[in-house]
Amino acid sequence: MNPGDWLAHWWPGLLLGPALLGGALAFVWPRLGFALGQGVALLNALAAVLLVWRVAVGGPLAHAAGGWPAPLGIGLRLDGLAVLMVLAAALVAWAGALNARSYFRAHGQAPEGFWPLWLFLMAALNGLFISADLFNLYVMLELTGLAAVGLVVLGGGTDSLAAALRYLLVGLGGSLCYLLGVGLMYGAYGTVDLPLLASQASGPALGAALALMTAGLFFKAGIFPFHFWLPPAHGGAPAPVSAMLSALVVEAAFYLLMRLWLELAPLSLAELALPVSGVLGSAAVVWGAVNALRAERLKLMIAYSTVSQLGYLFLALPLMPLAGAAIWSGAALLVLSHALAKGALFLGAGTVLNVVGHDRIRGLNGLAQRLPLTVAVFVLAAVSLIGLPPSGGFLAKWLLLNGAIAQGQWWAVAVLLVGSVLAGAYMFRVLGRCFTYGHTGGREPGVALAAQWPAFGLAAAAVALGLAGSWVGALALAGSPFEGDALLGVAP
Amino acid sequence: MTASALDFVLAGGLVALGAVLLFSHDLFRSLVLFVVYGLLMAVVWVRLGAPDLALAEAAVGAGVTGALMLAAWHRLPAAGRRAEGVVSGPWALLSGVALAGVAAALIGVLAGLDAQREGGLQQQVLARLPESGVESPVTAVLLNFRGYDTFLELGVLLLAALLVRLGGGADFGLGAKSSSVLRGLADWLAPLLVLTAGYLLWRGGHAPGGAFQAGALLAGAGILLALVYPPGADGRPAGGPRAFARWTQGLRLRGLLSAGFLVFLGVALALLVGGNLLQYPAGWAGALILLIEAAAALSIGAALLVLFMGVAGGREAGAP
Repeated sequence: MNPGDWLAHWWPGLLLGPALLGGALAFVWPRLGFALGQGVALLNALAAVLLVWRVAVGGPLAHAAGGWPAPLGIGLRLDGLAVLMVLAAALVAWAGALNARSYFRAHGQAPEGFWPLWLFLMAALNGLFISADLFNLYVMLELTGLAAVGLVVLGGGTDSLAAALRYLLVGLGGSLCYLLGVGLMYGAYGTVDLPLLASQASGPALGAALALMTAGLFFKAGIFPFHFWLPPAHGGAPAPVSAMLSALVVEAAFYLLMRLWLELAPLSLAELALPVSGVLGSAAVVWGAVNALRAERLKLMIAYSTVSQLGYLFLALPLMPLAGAAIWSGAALLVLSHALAKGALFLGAGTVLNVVGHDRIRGLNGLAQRLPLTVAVFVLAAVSLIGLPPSGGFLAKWLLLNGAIAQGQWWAVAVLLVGSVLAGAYMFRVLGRCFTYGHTGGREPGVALAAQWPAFGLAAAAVALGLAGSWVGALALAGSPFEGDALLGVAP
Repeated sequence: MTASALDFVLAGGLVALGAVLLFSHDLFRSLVLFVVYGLLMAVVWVRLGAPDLALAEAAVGAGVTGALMLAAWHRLPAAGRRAEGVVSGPWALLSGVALAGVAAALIGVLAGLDAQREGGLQQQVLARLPESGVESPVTAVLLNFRGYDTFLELGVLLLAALLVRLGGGADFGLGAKSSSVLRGLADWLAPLLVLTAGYLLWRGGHAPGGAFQAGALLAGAGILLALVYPPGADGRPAGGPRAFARWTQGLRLRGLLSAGFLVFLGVALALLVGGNLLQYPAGWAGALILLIEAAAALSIGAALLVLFMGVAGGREAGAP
């Protein structure tokens, strides 16, 4: 059996097995948590890279859980977009796991429950990205949400507990909304399999079900004005946790919306409904950025930046049905580059918090001299978040701009440009402090490189993503509803 | 099935109960009504031809959840026990109107559904039932056709138990005085509950029942024992069955909590060698399903017990 075939059969086991087994064992024997966490995170990253290669070479993969074909059983699929999401999650989770040791060392060791929750979150995200079944996706959303809430609790203190509780209630409300939609879908069409529904479903029940599911996912994605739970939850959690939540958990909800509206919904319905997403996205871009500008703490600023960056994704949604390939690839690139850059920023902020003792932006004068590597992380992440060439963020925004101009959607062009200027403003507000002369002690001694290199790797990857853009863009289209050349007409 | 007068009484009763429990000023009364609501709901499930759901609703929805809420009420300071109604104010009215609008729209959509579609996948499930290894269609869907979902649901339950432990729970026993009458009752009732759980588990293969219902009963027995035998000075339950004291803490408890998930995972991964994820080999489905269900019932029982104890176990405000 050649290695390609082996992967084609074992891929669900690779993506779910180690993380779930590791999570359960870390729960039974907490002492093994650290070793299991490191080992499984590395294994998961390797598996993700292997599978990216497999999908790029051999095309999308499918698997029928239980051996029962849909509609009786549950279909799993690994297409270009799914495998890219798996890769992003694996990289951020690996960097977070590496960083976690030194992050928690300041407090002794990782709190009990961290490693099982971390591993379960990894598995749940993988399961969410590969599922092609609406009810299974509900289970995955629950698993993701519960693990995320648990990780927020670990921030300690009443603030974290309150943020976690609010997060839990919002998440449950969103889940119930989504589940109601799934129930309606099954009642109307007798199946919950995405590809089958895409070929069969039509009529008012489809619209109602999609509306319910979308409302639920809006809550989970934290899109303006449903973002109220996000900044306290993401800002108050331990830094590696914030990285994972901000980079991937909210984007997972967007990923589902992309699947629902571009693969399932008929074009006429999408054209009717998606402008709502465009309006909310535009508002989120501006609102998030303005609040990021006003935030006094670094982590809260990064959390508001997430609100703003998510706005771009929702803004891209209404452009997609018509512009197709370019916007699909652009959104995939944006999700990926935001995940990497945001993960890097939060890990960096965690290092600052541990070394400086606080994360008040006003008090970060001279940080470039104390923690040069971490400031380099901020710079690289800023390059991608603002969208400066040659980063992944630049290429993604370029594709979105192109699509918006081609369709004459000038409001989207305006929002994209304003958002970039605001992102520049809030990132330079931090970087300006960092490079101010205000510290004479030289480089901070005793900061473990293990705390800083993972973040640097993520930030560098976010920038380098732009250089591999055409390859990534083409991969995102494998198995997508759109065909064609992602970068067609992008020549400057 | 045609609607009878009983159905109208049930439906009307549910709505009336819901309204009374939401607007009651006494939290305790709301909680008691919530349990009644759950029981009534179970009867509705029976009328709708879903006995499995009825069992789960009665055991988990009314029983365990009710106990959980009463335990939470017990910990509230006296001032918190009298609420201005669970719902009040203009926002409540507004959201009530909005919800009613959504519900009306949904009912409209449901009424317009193609009648032929009714039944969903029932035909397919029944056609494949002989291959599933069990005779009950519900068990076939839960443990075979959609076993992957059930497996992950066990993961959700494991996470819930973990979260409760993070909250500082799992401190067993209420610390309440238990009378000899209660103790005598528990000594009789707990073994009977365990026996019934075993019966429901076995019965799940061919009739309504199965791991969730059995697990709920096991949890019921555990809750009863934990209430009657409060912990001694060392935090362990003083008295009561020794096995209970031993298996409700530490490594053994964690093992019990994750047993169902781990067995399921082991089966899923092992089967990947010869087929797809969770694809039972021909002839083995029945035995593997029983193995998984037995482990799952233990874990479900333990998880529900931990959930209850996590809330009831503390000795903070309000506890005697």
